[in-house]
Amino acid sequence: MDTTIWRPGRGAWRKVSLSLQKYGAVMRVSIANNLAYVMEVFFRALLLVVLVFILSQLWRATFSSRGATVLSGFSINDMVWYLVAAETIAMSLPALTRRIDQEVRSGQLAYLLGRPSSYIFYNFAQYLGERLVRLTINAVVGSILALIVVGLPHFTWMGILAWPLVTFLALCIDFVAYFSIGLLAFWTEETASFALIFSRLTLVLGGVLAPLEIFPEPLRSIAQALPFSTILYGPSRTLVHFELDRFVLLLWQQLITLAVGGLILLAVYRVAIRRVNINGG
Amino acid sequence: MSIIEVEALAKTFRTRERAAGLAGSLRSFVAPRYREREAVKPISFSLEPGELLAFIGPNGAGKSTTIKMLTGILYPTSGKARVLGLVPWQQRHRLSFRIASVYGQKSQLWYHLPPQDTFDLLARIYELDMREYRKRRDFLVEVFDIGDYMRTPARKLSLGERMRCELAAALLHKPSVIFLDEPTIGLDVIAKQRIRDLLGHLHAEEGVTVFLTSHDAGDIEQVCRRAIVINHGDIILDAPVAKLKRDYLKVKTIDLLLEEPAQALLKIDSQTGRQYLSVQLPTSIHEELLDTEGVQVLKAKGHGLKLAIDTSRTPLEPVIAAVMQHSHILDMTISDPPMEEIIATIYRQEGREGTQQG
Repeated sequence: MDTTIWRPGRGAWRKVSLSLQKYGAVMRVSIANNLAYVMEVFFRALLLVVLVFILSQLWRATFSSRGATVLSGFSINDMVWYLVAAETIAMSLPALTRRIDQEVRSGQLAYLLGRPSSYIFYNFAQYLGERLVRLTINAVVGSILALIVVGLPHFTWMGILAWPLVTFLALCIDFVAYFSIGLLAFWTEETASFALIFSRLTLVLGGVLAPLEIFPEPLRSIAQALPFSTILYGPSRTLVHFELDRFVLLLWQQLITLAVGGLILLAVYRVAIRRVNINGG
Repeated sequence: MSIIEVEALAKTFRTRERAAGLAGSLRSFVAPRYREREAVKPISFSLEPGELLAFIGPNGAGKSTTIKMLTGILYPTSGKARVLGLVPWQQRHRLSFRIASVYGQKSQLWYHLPPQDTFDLLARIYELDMREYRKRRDFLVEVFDIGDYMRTPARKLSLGERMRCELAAALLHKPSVIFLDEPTIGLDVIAKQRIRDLLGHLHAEEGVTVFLTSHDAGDIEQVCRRAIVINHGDIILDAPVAKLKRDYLKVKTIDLLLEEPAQALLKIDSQTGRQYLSVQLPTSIHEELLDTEGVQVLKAKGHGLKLAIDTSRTPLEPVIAAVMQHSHILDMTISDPPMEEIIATIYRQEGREGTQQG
């Protein structure tokens, strides 16, 4: 039997390198696949333009009615760039729950399990590829709008450097949530509803309409403590108003959220796989 | 050593019964009742390296369940199995590098991308050496004749073209065993033939062991050397395909659409009232073909004529030639007996053999 076609892994480093190549390839293919949808993403980005434009006008009106140039520490320039940053992330969410739900129901899951790759990591790479395409287009289109409406942003270098890290962690948190919800397809018909609830909670409590500073107490503290704030508010505020201690706090919050979410994901995944193993999916 | 060994492998599914109505739903929530379905009764068989096995049976017979157990996705309720010396459900990851599965109704090609991209991705997933992979890929592209489609997005390919790409993709990592679950389902006759030819060719070149499930008798006849027939989770026949052909696949059904009315070719026996095909065989001096000659009229209506021909008694060609002498044939379909009939025949034969022995 000729088995020289594949190289067995030698040592841990080799295994890690092969895994990275494996999932890196999945991500690249996902990016390429999603560029086929680029027109759809572009039109969604136009929706972002409309939303941000309307919100920016509302905030302008609010600012002038209060006779203020700064509200809760945010100038109108900060506010609009914050909105663009938040909406860039919010509107880049791919239909992950729907895809997992379909894979579970159609039995495609069983097929994918037959391959020598982790279902979770495979999906994560696929999700990341798709999300990055959308994120990039949203960011470009949104930035052009913000430049037109309020001019150049007042970001700091620290904010610009920190933003990719906290955004990446936010994307991971989103993945953990929506993937787990998708796996619930084994037990419920309502995964779409759960996903919608989660996304709305993220939008409302996660600060997409305004930074959480605008909320009155005690809602502000509650919202800041909840994990939803780590997805939109956290990264956007880091970019617009970088503060080192808040950045560190955000990192901790994201890492803890990710750890807890990750454990929930693994638990749900384990039970789901057992279900496939016992019931055939 | 056998490449696949199955010993008393069984699978029973336990599903929760859901009663209708609100009261029923509440009851099933509080005190659930379970229904057990024996999908695969204890079955045993083994496969030697290089064998071409057809695992056939009607829908719901347990074919897909068996494949899922052998590929490690499904845990059996009882019994043992070894594929390439590994226990599938315990060593699935290791096994997945050495086997391949193709499910006729599922696709592993990325929808918007050309097969080329999926192939490159699979090379990474199976951790292949890139140089070897490229040689292998070029070889498969040539064998499967898919060079023209390698750069066409998968969504634009016809089912037949896509199936050839799926098969090529499954073979990139040189699996020792390939599991095919209904690979020709939904394909037209020509596409089916191509797939069958390719499988035969590949087996000849590489000696890969093929485990094929199907409910199409044509798949078995042309690709496989050995057949296991499964029905209601039980193996009812394990025999060389030649035996299957001889005993159960010899009757072909021909559906004809004629220019002349069908009645013109028939004669009715005044005693029994039965219809017979009345045409002159080129080699025979007899004008009538009676049932004893192995030609039975199944249906004659308008211009349509349906015949059942026992090919062990009368080959097809002379009959068709004789019909053609009497009327133009506008359309013709030759089909194998449906799976259900084959199963019924097997049961009948078993019954007869049972009474002969008993």
